[in-house]
Amino acid sequence: MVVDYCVGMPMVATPVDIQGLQDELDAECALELLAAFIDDTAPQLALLSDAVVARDVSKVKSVAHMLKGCCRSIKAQNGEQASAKLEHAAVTGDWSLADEALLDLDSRYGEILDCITDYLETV
Amino acid sequence: MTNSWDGQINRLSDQISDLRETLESSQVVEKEQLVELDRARMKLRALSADTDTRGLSELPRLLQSIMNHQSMAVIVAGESGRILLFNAVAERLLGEGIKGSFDTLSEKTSFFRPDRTTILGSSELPWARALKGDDIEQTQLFVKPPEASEGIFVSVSCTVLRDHKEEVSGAVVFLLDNTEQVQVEGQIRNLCEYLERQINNIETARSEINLLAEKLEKVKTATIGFDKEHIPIPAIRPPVVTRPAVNAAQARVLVVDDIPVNQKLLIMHLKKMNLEIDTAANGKEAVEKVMQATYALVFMDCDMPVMNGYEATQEIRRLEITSGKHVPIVAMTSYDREGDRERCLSIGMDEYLTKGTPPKKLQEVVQWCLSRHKPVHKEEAAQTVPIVQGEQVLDLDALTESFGADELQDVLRLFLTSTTTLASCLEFALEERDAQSVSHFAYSLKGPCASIGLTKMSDLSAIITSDAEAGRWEQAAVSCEQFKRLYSRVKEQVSAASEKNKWSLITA
Repeated sequence: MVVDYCVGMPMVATPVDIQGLQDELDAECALELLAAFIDDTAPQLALLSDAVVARDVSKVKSVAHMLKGCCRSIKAQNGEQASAKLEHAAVTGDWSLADEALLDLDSRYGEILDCITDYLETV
Repeated sequence: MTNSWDGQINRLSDQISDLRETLESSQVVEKEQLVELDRARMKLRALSADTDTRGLSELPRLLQSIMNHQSMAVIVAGESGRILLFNAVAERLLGEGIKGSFDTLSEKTSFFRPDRTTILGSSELPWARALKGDDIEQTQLFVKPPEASEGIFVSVSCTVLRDHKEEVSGAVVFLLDNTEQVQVEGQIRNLCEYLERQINNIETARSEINLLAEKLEKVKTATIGFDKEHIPIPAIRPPVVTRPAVNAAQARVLVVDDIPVNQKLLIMHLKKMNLEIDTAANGKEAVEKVMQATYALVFMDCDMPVMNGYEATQEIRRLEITSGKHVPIVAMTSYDREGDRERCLSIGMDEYLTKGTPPKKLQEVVQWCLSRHKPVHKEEAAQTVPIVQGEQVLDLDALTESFGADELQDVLRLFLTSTTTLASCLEFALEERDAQSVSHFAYSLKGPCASIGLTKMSDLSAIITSDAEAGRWEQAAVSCEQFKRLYSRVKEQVSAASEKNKWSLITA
């Protein structure tokens, strides 16, 4: 079964749509959510890298799927797309794509963290 | 999901072909027996035609071979119909009446056409015609001797014996008991006809299911896509007019997710709706909590450790069969591939949302689920129409409100005819242990059942699917029996309503 990894979803300029989060929740809840995001996802990124190197399909798929959901929850569209791409690569066994997707995800995740950090400094 | 209608038709057609081959084989066996009969008759004719004394000297040997035959009955009769010789097989088949003449035989033994009801007079019997000069190649009779409780089918041939003036001097009658072949042929023909009717029913059901889907879609309140071939998604939310709207503040919901950030986001949204919220970190915890407390709604993540959301949903639905409850379960998942929604609904979930669903959509779903839930209080249960634990009823008032009285008749008629056929196909697929077909037909039942408020039957369809896919055939068969029992109840209810309201089109 082919995973449709957000085909057609454009890259956005903002790594995290913090304004959108605040519109849906409130500032306090948005803050709480972003903090939870960092707590939940940081350890997973480390595991993910090892799993890709080890070509562990199950682990890569599971962690990429989890990161995709977390990014969606905090409106981090680029991160969501990158996670979806990695999930797709694992499902289809395309390890060259997986390597490329991991690099992309690392980069996007870094941008997400920077964005959240910047936001936290303003609060 | 692949279309198993053609598979079902092909399977039935294959059965018909197999049965016809069996029929042909049985007819071959019968033909082999008749070859011996022909051989005996040819020898007799040759002897009869032989004008010198050598033919006469052959007579004892021929008679011995014929009369000693273990399966063929032989009767030698004179021109007046007097029975001169008969063998043990003939006495066994025709009874005591054989010791006399054909007339006395007819008095004591009843002879019928193969239909077993049209009795034949003595002059209509093949040996009577033979004594008039007609060779009888082969004809079929049903015979009932006086002391026999059941009759037998026999194949009869007669060879005319003529003197030197070519006048009839007697006849030799051969009989073969072919009861078994006739019965097998009859059974096979009946089965072929039945299977052909099933094929016709399937074709009819396909068009009726499409028509049913169109009618259900007209009344749908949610913007949900519709696959007419599979009807996987409830087209309407079954309105529960008799139940008052539940105050959200009274409602407790369960959020099941192993990822704290996802759990947290959902809780934040739900708290705005003044709901009481419990959480579980995996499917196993979710099942335990659902059995201990009454929830208005469960939000279920699909991909979790220990027990995933699909397994947890199946387990909850299985336990609900005996508890009589139904908790709405909404999938909350990052799965957004084609077919994911259908998979969630086929497992037994009531709705499907992806993570990051806008709050407005989330609220709609919550309101819909809460409107279906009413906490059961003892005093209220006593005032309601008594419903036997685990039984299913249609809320006809609510359906009338949704469809209108006239349209409802049509919907119910289509529902009954298509469900009857689908259930029959489902049973057949279960017997064949064909998981793909079971999945297809159970899935096709799920949507219409849910659409008209038959949630228990809808849940059972999902359970049958998952049991078949997991190879739990005995459990699937048990669930199918439960489904049939509930369906019988629904048919009785529709029948009663049809009589009361003088509906013309409904036949349960």
